[in-house]
Amino acid sequence: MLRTLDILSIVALIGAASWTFSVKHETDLVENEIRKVERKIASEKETIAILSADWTLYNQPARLQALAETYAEDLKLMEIRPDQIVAEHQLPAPPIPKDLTIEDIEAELLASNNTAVQ
Amino acid sequence: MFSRKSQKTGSSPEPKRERRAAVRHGDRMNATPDNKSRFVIAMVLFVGVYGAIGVRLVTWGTVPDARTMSFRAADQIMASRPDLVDRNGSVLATDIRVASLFAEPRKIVDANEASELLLSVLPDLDPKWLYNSLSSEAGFLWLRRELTPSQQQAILDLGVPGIGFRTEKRRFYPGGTTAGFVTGHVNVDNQGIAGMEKYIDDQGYLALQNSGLAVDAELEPVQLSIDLRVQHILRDELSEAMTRYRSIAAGGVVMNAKTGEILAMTSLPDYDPNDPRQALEKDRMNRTSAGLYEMGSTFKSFTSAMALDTGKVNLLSKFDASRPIRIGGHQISDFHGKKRVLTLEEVFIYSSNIGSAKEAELVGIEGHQAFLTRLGLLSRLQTELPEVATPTQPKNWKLVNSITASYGHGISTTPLQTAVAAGALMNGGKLIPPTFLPRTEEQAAAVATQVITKSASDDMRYLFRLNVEDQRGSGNYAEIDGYRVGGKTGTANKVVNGRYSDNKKFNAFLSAFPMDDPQYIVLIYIDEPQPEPGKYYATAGMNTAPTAGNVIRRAAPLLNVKPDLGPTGETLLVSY
Repeated sequence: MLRTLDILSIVALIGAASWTFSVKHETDLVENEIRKVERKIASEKETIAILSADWTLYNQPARLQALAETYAEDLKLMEIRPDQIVAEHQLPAPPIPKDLTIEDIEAELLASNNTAVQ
Repeated sequence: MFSRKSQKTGSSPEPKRERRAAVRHGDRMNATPDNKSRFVIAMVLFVGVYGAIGVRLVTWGTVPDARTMSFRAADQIMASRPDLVDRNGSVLATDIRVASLFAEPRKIVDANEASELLLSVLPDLDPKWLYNSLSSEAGFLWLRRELTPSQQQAILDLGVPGIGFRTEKRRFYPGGTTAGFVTGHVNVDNQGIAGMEKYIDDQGYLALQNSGLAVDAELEPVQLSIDLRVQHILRDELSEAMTRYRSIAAGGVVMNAKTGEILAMTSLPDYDPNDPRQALEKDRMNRTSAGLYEMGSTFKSFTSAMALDTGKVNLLSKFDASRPIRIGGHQISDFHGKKRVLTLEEVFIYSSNIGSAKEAELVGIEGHQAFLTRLGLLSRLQTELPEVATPTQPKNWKLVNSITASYGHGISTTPLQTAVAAGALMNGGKLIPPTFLPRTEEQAAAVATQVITKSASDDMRYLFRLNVEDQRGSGNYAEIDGYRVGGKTGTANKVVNGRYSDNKKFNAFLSAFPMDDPQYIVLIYIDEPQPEPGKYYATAGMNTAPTAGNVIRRAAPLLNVKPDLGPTGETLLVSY
């Protein structure tokens, strides 16, 4: 009886010790992984900062203007004129689709009437 | 368990004690050991050893990881700053990490090979110097500061032993000169020493940086009211104007008339904040906010507004401008004078000095001084930017001071203040302190003060528009179809050696658009312009007005101002 208790407790002790060790080891591994990822995040952030600085550099209005002037002829670029900006009500009515017959229009009117009644 | 075993082994060689225990019928487990001292020693030992282990575990557990500590220490020297972005989110200033290349010559095996390899990436290094440095016995030396990322990668790919990189944070301004006077710049310790960079530091960021909290923290970008596109347009047009009119300087402001937000501000010649040494050159100061000028005829806008604000006169009130005014040995006359009685409207569009002096007479000397003070033209402007000059005015205002001030002479103020005061004339009479940070109309209303009546402001809008629209006006060259520009020209003779010069002029054009409900104020000034080739005059209407017009033509669509071409424009329809 005593012997079995002793053996059981030894087994339990070894079990607990090895479990603790494995947990600790796993934690170490996870911590290493976290550190690695954190370093990676930091370096990615740096890269993002540099790339976004690069992007704004490429997007500088001064540079875009120089490019637009260089390629104005090839791409047929022109400066916008005030009269090219119009309000909605200034737009002409859309053209009437050609293959529309009287019957079609009547059917459409009927349908809209029906929905209005409902 | 261990102690029990030792007890067993300890007791077996002594049959006497066993017998004695049997006699007592006592349980072996409950028996009190005879040699108590040995147990005490064993217990003390065990408790001591495990206690020591436990204490060490706890101390190691509480001390933070040594590795993360070393990372923090490395970053401590590179304090980060928040990015500066414009109102649309374009980056104006950002922190980038740059790598600097160093060598440890003692660790270099083959100096000849190493220097040859490095020269393949950095061909501009001096080969002789490089070889001598690498073959020396020095422990550490810098080879090149601030490499580009691609250069760094190329050097890493070489795999030369004995060289390495250190990364440093550096402030980078992608726009270069474009918005230099607004962003300002930083010193080597990444602390703001000019412009909005200094403002951010003064707002408590510096304390954060000094306490070491700004090191790893993710700092929210600071948004400014500047619009990078408009800022570029302003600078582009001004630099073109500077070459065309061969002037010594030029500058301008674009301001939102309803919120006081500055959308663009510059002054040429300007400087590149990436190279802060340029800022020390006297010529490259920010004339728009830190330069004092006698603004000239643009001040007649304030004189007319003052007269209208009294309510005693209206647009058709008459002022006698037939004879020059003589005062204290000076004669005040008109450039291209009409030599007759003018209405207030005509005084404005003909830019009559005599008429303006008569307008100022209406309110008296004290009233005049008080009015200009109320518009903030005589005191130091309160805004975020640290580079702001304090205007100068006569110590004691006399009649002659009031007369000269009516057409913009004898008192010096900054162009920025003039634009701010003009905002009040245009937006219904509310003076809104300018800001370089985003602000809504509600916030603006909270800080605004009513300085002139709404009807006076309405009349001023009419006068501004008339001066550009009407053929008699001086601002015709600023007319841009559809945007209803209004403005007032100012050609001031500069003071040279205490006398007004005849050929050195300071020209300005104070404008606003669209005139039926002004949204934006545009002020352009050109310092000492020469006549354009083939033209005789270099008055403001010939140079600053067309420049302002160009800025408005290019910037208005970006600022969401819808062109209104009137009934004739509506017929020019697109067709499918």
